[in-house]
Amino acid sequence: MSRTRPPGFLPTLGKGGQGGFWRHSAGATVDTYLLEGKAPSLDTTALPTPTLPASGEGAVSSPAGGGGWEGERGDSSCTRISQSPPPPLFQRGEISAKWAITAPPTLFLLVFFLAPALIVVLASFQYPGEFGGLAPLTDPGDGGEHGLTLENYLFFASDWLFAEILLRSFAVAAASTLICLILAYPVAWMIARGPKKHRNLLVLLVILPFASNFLIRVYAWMIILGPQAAFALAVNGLLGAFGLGPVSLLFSPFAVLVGMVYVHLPFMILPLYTNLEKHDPVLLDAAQDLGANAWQRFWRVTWPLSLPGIFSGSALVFIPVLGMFAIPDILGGTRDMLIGNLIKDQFLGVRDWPFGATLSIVLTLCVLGLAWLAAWAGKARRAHA
Amino acid sequence: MALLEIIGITRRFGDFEAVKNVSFAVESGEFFTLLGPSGCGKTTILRMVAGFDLPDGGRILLDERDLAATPAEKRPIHTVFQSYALFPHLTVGQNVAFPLRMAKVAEAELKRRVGETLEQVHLAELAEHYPHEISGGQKQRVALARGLVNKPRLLLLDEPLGALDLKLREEMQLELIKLQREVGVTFMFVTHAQPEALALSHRIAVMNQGRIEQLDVPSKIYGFPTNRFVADFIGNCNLLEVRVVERRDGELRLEAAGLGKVVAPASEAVGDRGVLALRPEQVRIFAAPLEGG
Repeated sequence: MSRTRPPGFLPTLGKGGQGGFWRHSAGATVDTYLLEGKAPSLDTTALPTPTLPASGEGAVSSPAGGGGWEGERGDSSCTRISQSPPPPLFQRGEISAKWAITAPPTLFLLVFFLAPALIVVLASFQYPGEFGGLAPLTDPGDGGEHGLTLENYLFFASDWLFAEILLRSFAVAAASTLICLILAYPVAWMIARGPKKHRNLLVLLVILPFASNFLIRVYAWMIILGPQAAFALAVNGLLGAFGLGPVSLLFSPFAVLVGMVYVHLPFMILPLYTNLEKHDPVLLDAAQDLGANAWQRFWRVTWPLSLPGIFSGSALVFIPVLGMFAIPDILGGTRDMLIGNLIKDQFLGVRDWPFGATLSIVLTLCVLGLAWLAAWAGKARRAHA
Repeated sequence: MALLEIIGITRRFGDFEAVKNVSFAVESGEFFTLLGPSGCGKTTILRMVAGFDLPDGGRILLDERDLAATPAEKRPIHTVFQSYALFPHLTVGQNVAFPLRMAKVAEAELKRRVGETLEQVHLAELAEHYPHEISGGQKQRVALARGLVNKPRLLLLDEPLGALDLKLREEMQLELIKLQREVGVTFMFVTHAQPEALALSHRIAVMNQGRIEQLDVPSKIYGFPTNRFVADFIGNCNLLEVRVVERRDGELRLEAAGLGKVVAPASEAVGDRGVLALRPEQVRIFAAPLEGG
């Protein structure tokens, strides 16, 4: 049982930061409806019972209004993160329809997201079971470990190694995000500025790799970077010409970075393209007309207007890379362990679930802290501007 | 010497000749209007003057210097776009400051000039607002302020009033005239709305199919159209086929089908057949026939 559970359980845990980060905002939205749903029910002076289509419309439009992240990404006017007004209040009689629509996803999130997340929090304060799993919370009577403890967190703090792995993961995620951004920006720009009839085809080509399995694509890089492959031979030939020794491309931080960038590049291109495509070309004409050269037109108009796309794309790359364990497993060497691998090992290898849970919680807190910092910096920047 | 001289410019898009050998000159301090139906080539001329497009033939001179080798960002010519093209990520004040920043004007001087220009368009209190927070008429003023703040030699206005409602349009027309007088910048205005052109301009070039049909002061354009197109395009007008009966000094006696004999001021037109353009407001009806009529 515990053999079959972890594989499904792990990715969620490994990307605990991601899950918490993203779904948290969705969860907040749902909460908002629930609260607001109750208020009008007390209002006896509500409007006449609306017809069903009207209520359906209200229910459909409100999630769009509440989704701060989604709205921001698609917004080309984009100077400020749109503080959309609260979703329209539901009238009396619409409430049952509203519940019918929002209850299933709410229930789903409660059961399959919130509850497991709380279990992970709890697990991080428990002792490991003797044969893996968790030790019981109540005294089993055999004198074994039981109850709650801070031992896992103390263990994390006791060895610099864990913090080092965490920092390395952040460094890899930051580097992958930056490389993705640098590679994706020109691609997204060219698609957005290219002839309209080609755009859909080009976007299709960007997402085409998703049509084949993720692992197969990563394994393909093993062959491409392998010592006998043309690429490695060419690189080593070139290095040899300068008197530098042959290097192994595979099983190196380089290979991990290549894999991370390769897999996540479309997640950077797509939000950037969606953003850049909406830029009004006349703004660049105006900037030029007012004295801006090509460089100034980019940095003063295109770049600031594309910031929402850059933020969305960066979040879509940074967070999954942070929790990724498959790519370093396949392409990385023994010294390239990232936090995702470490967490996976706690569950599958070492069978220390509480410490795995602790690492997940620490990772999640770091990501949330980073998100808070980004939001705070954004606010400060806007206030300054 | 004229500020802007356009000498025989031509612009082709594939087989279509958008501008056909057009020449005219704009004097310093003038409010000059290019008027014509959509697709007549007026915006193409504007884009070539601004530097977004290059003529296939002919020359554009500003202060007697050929502009051909000068890119748009180096020309002392600014444009007010029809859609205003305000930068959405910048406040009103930052939008107006943009050309000054590009020209690397010192911060203190920049602040002073932005404030001064915003005063001129009555927007000083909106400096901290973003474009999406202000109305269409206010955006229009911001665009004007942004175009004028750096004191260009020439300000191009591409149907700038097109997006405003009628009342606001009339208000803005008055303000445009006032503003132009105040700042002394030469305006070159492009529009298809003839009342606007007649109300605002010192001189109007009426364009059709890539050519200038008539270039004159508004009263002449309205009162003495040189051809059928201009007469028809400007104001309400009855066009009557006439035959010249007699030419006398300063007068033409004409015979119009269905109307009888008409006396008209002499024109340079030759031949004995033509078209009489009769403004409805010029027609008076008398109870008895005129003597000798």
